[in-house]
Amino acid sequence: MAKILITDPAHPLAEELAALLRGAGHEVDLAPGNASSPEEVRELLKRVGTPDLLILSEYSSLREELAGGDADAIAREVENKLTSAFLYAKHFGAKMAEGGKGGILILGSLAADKPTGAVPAYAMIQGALQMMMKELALFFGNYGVRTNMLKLAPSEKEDAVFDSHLIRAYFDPETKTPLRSRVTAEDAFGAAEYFLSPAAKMVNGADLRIDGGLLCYYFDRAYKPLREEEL
Amino acid sequence: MSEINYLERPALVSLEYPETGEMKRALEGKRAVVTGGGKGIGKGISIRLAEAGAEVVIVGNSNMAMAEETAALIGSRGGKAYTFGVDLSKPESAAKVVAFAAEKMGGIDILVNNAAYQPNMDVTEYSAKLFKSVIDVNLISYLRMSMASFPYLKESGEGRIVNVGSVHSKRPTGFDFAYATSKGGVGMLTRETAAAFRPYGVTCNTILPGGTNIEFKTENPDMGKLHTIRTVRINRGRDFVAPGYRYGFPSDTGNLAVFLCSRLGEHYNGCAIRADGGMVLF
Repeated sequence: MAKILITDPAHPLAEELAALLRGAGHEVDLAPGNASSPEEVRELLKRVGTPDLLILSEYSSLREELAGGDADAIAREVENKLTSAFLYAKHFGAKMAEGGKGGILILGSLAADKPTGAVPAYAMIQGALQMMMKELALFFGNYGVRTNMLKLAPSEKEDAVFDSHLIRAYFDPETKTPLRSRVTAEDAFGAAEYFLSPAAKMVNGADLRIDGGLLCYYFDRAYKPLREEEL
Repeated sequence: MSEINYLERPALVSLEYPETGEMKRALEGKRAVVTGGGKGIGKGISIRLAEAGAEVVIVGNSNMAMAEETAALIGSRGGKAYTFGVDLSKPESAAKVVAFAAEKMGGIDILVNNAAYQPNMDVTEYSAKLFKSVIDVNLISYLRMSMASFPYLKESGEGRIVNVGSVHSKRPTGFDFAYATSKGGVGMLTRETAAAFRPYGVTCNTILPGGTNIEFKTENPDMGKLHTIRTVRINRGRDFVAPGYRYGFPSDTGNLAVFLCSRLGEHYNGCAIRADGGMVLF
């Protein structure tokens, strides 16, 4: 049984993921949300103790376009989310490093690799988190703490968030995903179990894309045998 | 085959910024803004853009004397450059830069987001305040400058944005947690901008320089102290890069910026191109 903290209850899969992890016998806490000060994080650390796995997520559903959108809103969102991620990583990571074990798993998005058109703030945050993950892996790895990142394709709950008139990459994802299915909390749960297991003892600084192959899709055409109704 | 001795070849790049004649006048009539354009990599970009025919607004902050020197160097070679001092970490600064550029040049065709701040600390050394200030300069200012310049870039019909990222947009540094984080964000900002501005004929790309020889002068004593730490840490690492590797010069990045901003570069959009001499090849 592992002790797990999920930092962002606003992530669309957070509640379900927590339930699945509890069902598997783990002790799971959900943090109140974004952190804005070191005191807040230290207080949380005192309350929940040092986890074996910190599931770090900074979800954003801010739909604000770059062409003619509100720059202040995007800037605020990016700054707040990245500061929150930094505070969690710094304080929890240092505590794990003291004990010489533990892991940080960033519950990230495919938006770290594939632009969205709809949620540029989220893509910027994801791009930044990807490099944050690598820096943490390089630094805390020396103390036995592993840091990795999941890049999840949008779940069904996020279709309205990713809907864009600029980029059709996320439109009709079930058709565009070679596996023809959608990401669920079970996919994140499976990955979390893997990173907790001894099988992942050498996995550090890795990003695991869970998208059914959606990233491979880039051209707005069928890559598969056409269905009868499409002929 | 013998190894190439860079010292025996005619210098295309150095801290003397030799005039190369390469791509001369490729940017005739263009109006450019370069943030952090007075020193370091930004200086190499400003000089090369001017050499290719562009008027340049050099945006500086921590060392305006160097921005003036760079503008004077451009002027002495027959180019035209203006300087503007502003702290880009402040939300209102982008609009001020754009207003100044529009007043002096009548518009903007090229925006080079280059200003950056690199305190060289690991995750445990950073305070929240310092972390935010790095994100504000290295990432948020790029966002604000791009959005504020957009009406002029759109009007240009051939608008270009070049974001100066880093090889640390791809590989971690091991010596600056916030710097790499910010540069990772720049990578995705570039691709989002490329998608959003594409319908208006504006392209956006990232150049990823590697280790670069720069003149480091600052009026801020704290920055001087940080630079000493950086120099020691980086010098320990540089010999391990690869045999025959040479550190870059600001003009290496400047040359690529000229290409991306010229008509020859119009089919490049959302790209991240390394200008690092193969530093992270391995």
